[in-house]
Amino acid sequence: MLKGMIFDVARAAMDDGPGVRTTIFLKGCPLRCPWCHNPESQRFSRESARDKYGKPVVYGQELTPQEILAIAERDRSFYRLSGGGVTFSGGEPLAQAAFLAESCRLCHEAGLHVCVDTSGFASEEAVHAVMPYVDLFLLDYKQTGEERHERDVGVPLSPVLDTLALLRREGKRVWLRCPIVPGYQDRPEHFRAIAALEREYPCIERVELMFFHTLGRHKYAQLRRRDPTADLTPFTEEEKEAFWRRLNDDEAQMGIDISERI
Amino acid sequence: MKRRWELTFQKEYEAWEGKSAALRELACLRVQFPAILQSVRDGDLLAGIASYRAVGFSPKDDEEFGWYLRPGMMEKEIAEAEGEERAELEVVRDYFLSRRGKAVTRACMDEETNRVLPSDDLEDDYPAYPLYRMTGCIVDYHRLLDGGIPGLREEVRAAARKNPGHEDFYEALLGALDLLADCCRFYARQCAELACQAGDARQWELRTMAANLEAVAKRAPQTFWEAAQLSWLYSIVAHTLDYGRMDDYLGTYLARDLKSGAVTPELAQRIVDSMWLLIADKRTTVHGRVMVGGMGRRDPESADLFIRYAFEATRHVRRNEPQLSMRWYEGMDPELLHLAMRLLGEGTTFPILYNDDANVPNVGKAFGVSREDAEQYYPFGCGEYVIGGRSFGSPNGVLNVARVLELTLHGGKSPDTGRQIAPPCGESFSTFEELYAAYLASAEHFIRFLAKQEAAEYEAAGKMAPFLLLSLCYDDCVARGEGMFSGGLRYLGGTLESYGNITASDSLLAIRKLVYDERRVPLRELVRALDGDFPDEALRQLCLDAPKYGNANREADEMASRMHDDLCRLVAAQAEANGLSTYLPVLINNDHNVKFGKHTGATADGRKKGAPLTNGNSPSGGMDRSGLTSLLTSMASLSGEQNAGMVQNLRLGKDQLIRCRDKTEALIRAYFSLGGTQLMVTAVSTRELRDAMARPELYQNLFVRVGGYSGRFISLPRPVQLDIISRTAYGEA
Repeated sequence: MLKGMIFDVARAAMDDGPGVRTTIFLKGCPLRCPWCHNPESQRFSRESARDKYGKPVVYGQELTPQEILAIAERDRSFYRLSGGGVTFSGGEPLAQAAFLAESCRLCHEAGLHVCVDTSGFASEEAVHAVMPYVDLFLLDYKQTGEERHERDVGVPLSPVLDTLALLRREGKRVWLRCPIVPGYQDRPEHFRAIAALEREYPCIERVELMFFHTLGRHKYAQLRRRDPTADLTPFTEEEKEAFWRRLNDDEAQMGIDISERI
Repeated sequence: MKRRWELTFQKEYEAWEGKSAALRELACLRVQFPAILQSVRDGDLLAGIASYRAVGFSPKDDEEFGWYLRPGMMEKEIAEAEGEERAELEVVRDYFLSRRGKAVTRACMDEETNRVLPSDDLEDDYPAYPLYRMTGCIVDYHRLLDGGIPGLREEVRAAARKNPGHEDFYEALLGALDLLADCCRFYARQCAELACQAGDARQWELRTMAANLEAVAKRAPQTFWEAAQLSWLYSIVAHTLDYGRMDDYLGTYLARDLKSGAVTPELAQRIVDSMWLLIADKRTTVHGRVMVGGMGRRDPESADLFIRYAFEATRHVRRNEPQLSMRWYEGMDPELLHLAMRLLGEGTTFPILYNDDANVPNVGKAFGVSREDAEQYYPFGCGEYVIGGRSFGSPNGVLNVARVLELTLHGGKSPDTGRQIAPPCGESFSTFEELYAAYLASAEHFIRFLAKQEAAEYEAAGKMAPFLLLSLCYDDCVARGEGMFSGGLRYLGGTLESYGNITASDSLLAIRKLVYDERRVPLRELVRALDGDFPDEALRQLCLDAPKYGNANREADEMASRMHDDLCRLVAAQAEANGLSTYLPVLINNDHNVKFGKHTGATADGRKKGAPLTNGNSPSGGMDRSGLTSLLTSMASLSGEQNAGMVQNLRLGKDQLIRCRDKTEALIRAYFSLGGTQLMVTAVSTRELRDAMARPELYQNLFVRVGGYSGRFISLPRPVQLDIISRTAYGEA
């Protein structure tokens, strides 16, 4: 039976697409972003850890697409009024393409709004398999420059841009999600590149800046792994504000209508 | 030296002893007013402050009602007095000791009821206690404002002509109206005098106030300011502590005056602010309800306009009262819900939200009244429903159902003292159903006597006095020629406050699963562990791991619903036998969950001995771990069709309410669409609460919803603070 490896389910998720959503987190990711706040999402297999009280915690549970639908259905009444639905996130959900496609299909056919939150690092076949059942892609844009991208996250940038191009070609809706981490993406050319993508790809409806935070730090400790961002401190509210201004300026210069965001 | 007021009051009472109760009340009210009225303060735009004395007359005074006595205050006066006066005061004290509400009620309770409910000290180890009060006066302010004092006078005279044989009552009602007019004139004179010494701006205000008061003494109010003044002063003299649907009775005046320019928006706002401040300064903690919004308003458009002023006043007057509440239904101006969310996001804890789409039909069923009546439902105090202007439902009995379960597990005996408190029921139950039946039987025992006690208390109130000023503004007292508690009221019902419900239902489920379904531990062993406050942490962990209400878990929610429905049914069943129109439970909360928790042993849901019980129908602190939608699903699962209100506390991180305001609003509307009845929102993070405990000086304006009331966090007792911190906060960054 088709099963997916899931490491978490978040109900009443507020930040994974429009409205109030149930987010299904698929385990396993080909990328290794140093700022990853879900280290338990990286490996494809089940793993165990201990929480701060020493109590064992297991990450990874196999679920069928039908079980996924049943979980997503529970909060249907909350999706309706908020314009929400179900989001598949990860890990990299497209890495479990067959399971993802079937789960998306079931949810879609049940009339739920479906988002897929992806790094974009996936085969064209995988994207094609899920595409018909997905209302909105939340696509990460993690780094500007081939070399930097490969160095920082461990995979090349071009497949990500290929995915974006494919989504444009197929007329899919996209929200571009951009992690902003101190020392990694906080440079002017990165913001210019985001603005350029937004101009070039009309399928991008919205850009989200996702600022570095430390909420995942304790999980590295639980898993007894080194936290690569242990030395970083989050941006202040003023700095975040400045990044938004910077992006808006770049966009304005390129003639992108940003009225909605202000 | 001026003769002590209390002596005059007592002499007046004594002179009428054995004669007409109505005329006696009037005579004593004449001593009480305007004597206890206090001076208009600098900045007040409405006149009316009362300062109650050591004895007096009131529907509710502290823990008393009717002819009340404040023992502490009286002893102080006695200590201050000398010689003959001291002796006289002692006579007054002794005189009212046997005539006050508490004493008269106890005398009306039969011997058995007195025996089952022996204690008035909530810190005792009983599961049930009586409370002494006639609280929740939600009068029909339209009756007062539409025709003013003369209009009511006309109505009384007309009724008297039609309804002979009630001359004393009608005469007393007319006298009470004269007294209200006298109080208006008292303040009119005072304002005029104060105006002489005031600066220009204040002088104009005081002169206008004097003119308003003169006007409403003799005719119906015509302006917003006059209507606000008359309604306020009436509330002071009648001593209502909740203020009705204020948008409904003041909105039309406000809209008209704003349109004609008779009042500027700034002045109108200051008048509402002044009202808010006067309410806040009464410091009742659990009352001070101002309701806005909802179905069944006369002039919704103007009322909606008032709501905006009410919100702004709550923003200006940052206090724990008035407890601004908004009834909401799909179809009301959505902008008002946006504004409400914004106000909540600022940490005011107001407005408390009520869902008319669920509540109006529920109230119709629970109270057995028409839709028109149901549309006038009103949650007073901590959240008990009555039908405004038509029904009374003083919550005069409290029941700790977690304690009832504890007693049931011990054959009806207190595990601490071995004393038989509940009916004996044996201690071994071969099936869960047997245990559950014994638990319900024990609960029913206390419910039966609490209902008898409630009826006795109304009987006492009816004997004491007709409560003239209130009777004037309630249907059908004037027409029937009877006081509220002696046959005048259209619906005389009662309410029972139930505590620890979710603690009990989660415990029942844990027992069912561990003892009967999975046979992990014998009942005897579990009870022994509870008695020892869980000496074995592993067993406690099993208890904690059992499904908990608040997670949209089917088993836990079903157990909560089953117990809820059964208890509601048992309570409602007591109405008829006790001559009450309804007798309904409320799942409200003040801080009794903490108080009762102190005297309840460890419970099978994993709660330690002495820890707080659950609050209203909210989950055990920290046990809701499946996200906001799950919590809301659980809370919406309890039926509102056979009770008089439930309170739902929700703590949200500020982040959630500010950054995700629209989504949170959608969640609340979805919760309402599922049948959720009510929601109280506190926007504060756990971090802030902890910091406030450590550095209270920085958090003077931090308000939290305790249960059915809001409190300044830093002023709350430490156990209550900890209870609030233990509640899950959603959307904390």
